[in-house]
Amino acid sequence: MLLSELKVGESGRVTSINNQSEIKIRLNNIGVTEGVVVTVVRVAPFSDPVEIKLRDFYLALRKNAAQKITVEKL
Amino acid sequence: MSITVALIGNPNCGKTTLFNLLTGTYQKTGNWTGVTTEKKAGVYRKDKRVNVVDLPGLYSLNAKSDDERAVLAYLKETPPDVIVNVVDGTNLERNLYLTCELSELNIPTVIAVNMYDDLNKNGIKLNSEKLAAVFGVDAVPVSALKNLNVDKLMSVAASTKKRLTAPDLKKEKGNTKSEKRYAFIERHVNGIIKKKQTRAEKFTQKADDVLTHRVFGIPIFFCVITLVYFLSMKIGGAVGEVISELFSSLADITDVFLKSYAVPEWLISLVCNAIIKSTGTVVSFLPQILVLFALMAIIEESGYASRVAFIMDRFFRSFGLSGKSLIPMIVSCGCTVSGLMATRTIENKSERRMTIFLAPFMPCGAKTAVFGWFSYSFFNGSAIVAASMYFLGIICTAVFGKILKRFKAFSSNDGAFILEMPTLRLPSLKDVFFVLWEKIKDFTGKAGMIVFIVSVALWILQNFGFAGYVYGNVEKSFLFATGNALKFFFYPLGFGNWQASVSVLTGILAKEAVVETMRFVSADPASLFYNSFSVYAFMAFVLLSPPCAASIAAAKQELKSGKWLFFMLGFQLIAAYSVALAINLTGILFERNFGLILSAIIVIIIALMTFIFIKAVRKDGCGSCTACNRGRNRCQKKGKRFTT
Repeated sequence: MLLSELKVGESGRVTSINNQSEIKIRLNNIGVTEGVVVTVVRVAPFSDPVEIKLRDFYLALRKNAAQKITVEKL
Repeated sequence: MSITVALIGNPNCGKTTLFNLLTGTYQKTGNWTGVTTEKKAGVYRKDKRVNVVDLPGLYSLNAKSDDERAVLAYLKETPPDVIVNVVDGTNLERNLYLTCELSELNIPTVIAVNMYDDLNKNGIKLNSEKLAAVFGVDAVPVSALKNLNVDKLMSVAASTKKRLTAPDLKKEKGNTKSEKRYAFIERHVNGIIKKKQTRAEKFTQKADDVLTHRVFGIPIFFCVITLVYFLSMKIGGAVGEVISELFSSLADITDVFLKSYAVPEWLISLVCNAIIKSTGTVVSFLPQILVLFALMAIIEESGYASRVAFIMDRFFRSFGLSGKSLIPMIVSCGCTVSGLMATRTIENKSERRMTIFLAPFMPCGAKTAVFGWFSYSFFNGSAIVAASMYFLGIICTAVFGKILKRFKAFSSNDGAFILEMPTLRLPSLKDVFFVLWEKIKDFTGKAGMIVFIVSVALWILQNFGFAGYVYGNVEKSFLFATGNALKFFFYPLGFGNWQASVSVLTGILAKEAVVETMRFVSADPASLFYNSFSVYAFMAFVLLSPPCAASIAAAKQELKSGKWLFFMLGFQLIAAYSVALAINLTGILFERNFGLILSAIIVIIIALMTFIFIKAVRKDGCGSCTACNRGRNRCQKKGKRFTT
């Protein structure tokens, strides 16, 4: 499933990030890599962007970026 | 012999606080990702032979954003003698990623583990020997905020020859280099630090449940911003009035004093009218802007700004802006120059450009003063008329945002919106004070200089003409000639006379000058307008037309392109003209006179001009791919060439 489909409070392990996007490099650099566990902490009004927790810090991503990340729900 | 020490680290790792502590030269520090976008240098105050350079906060050296490119270029071209790699101890895993990248540079390095006080307070054990062993350099736990171990850090940095050992990535899991680096860090980080949620983090989560609440988040933000404006208008406005009166009496006293020494009349007029009164205008804005900036600094330093960007992003995106556009817009209500500089945190190029185009629509401090005077002089001091300018600014931002978004140049999707939500911290008074100090220097320096120059220039233009010195005979002055040439342009807007034209013109140099000019060139400003619609059209034109010279210069610097600056000025002129025209036409419709036909012709001409302008922008790449944004001259999709 996609990261954007996780509900608030749910966690998932990243299995892949859409390769063709320039976003992938940025996400990789900031720690969103294959295998990392992310938890959806909260969503903004209108359900976009999404705030996730990973590697001990908090990150907001737009839905279009979250849709490029495939996770396996934990 | 002197050495250069460069501070490198992630945004929000406390790097700039450390820089301030080391050098004593204060500059902006912030919890808002990427506040330091320029390289800043200073001298270590305890050892003058040590130069300290503060580099922009970044997550990686991957050379994608402007900041990353700038830092990499700096490190390659003029390598510092020592790198102090500042890492946030409460967020070690991600911070050490940059450390891995730095190992490829082969420059002597020390790792400074910041927030040591936070670790101690929460009983988190840090094994800095282990960290030192993993990377092969010294690791010093420090606290920039509490001044812990900072001297020790500097003495180690001054003498170290140790270089980072590049992690052996061959055996690590992962497809890309960055994944392997993270795998390497994951294996070691548990031996270095025992992870635990800090108290500050728990508090942040509780506070964020309220501040970014799906229903209450936005109303809370509106309350905060209303309070900010209320305080700055009330406190700042009251002090400003006193200052304004002081300067006015100073001008009177000087006038009497100079007359008693038989100083020539023109010199008295230059000193009293042009210099003292215009200085007074600038200084009287200062308290208002100071209070505004102090409160804005608190919002930024505390980390609330990131929350606001988070809750407003979706809403702003529908106008082609970003959640990160909001802070520049709010700052623009104080001063457009600072607002434009605040756009640097927006990573998406088209959203950043859009913010630069639209932020000047906000009524800045100087425009607010102009509207105050107009509503006082023409609308019986109606507060609604003055306040309506704010709404007009906001409506125009939304409407023109929608229009601009239709252009491919403003709808590119490059650059991910990546917004770190840093731990909320109580801003230290010291930090806020130094941010303010920067702002005062900025405002009085830039704005003050420009108002001063404009006032003197205006005085010269008013008192000199083709016949030489024409004091008291304004119809022979250069100013009259300029206004006369321009007045036809403004005729459709309802203020086609030389006095109003000249006022608009000086407004493009500095908005403060609009009222000054109008009062100077006309004994009865009411005679310049034929109805209240044309007054309102004039106000709208002042609101939307290109901002003062200082912000045009700032826009040039931020857009980094003369071509884009030209488009921006053209766009703002067209926006101002069409809105003012619409307002005036509404007035004419109400009066049903023959000007209607004339105006219709003019509308068609304007529409044609706009169309041509649009064509000119379109030429700049079709937007079906991002090749043009990457500086290539052949479109990937259509294979067409275009001029770059």
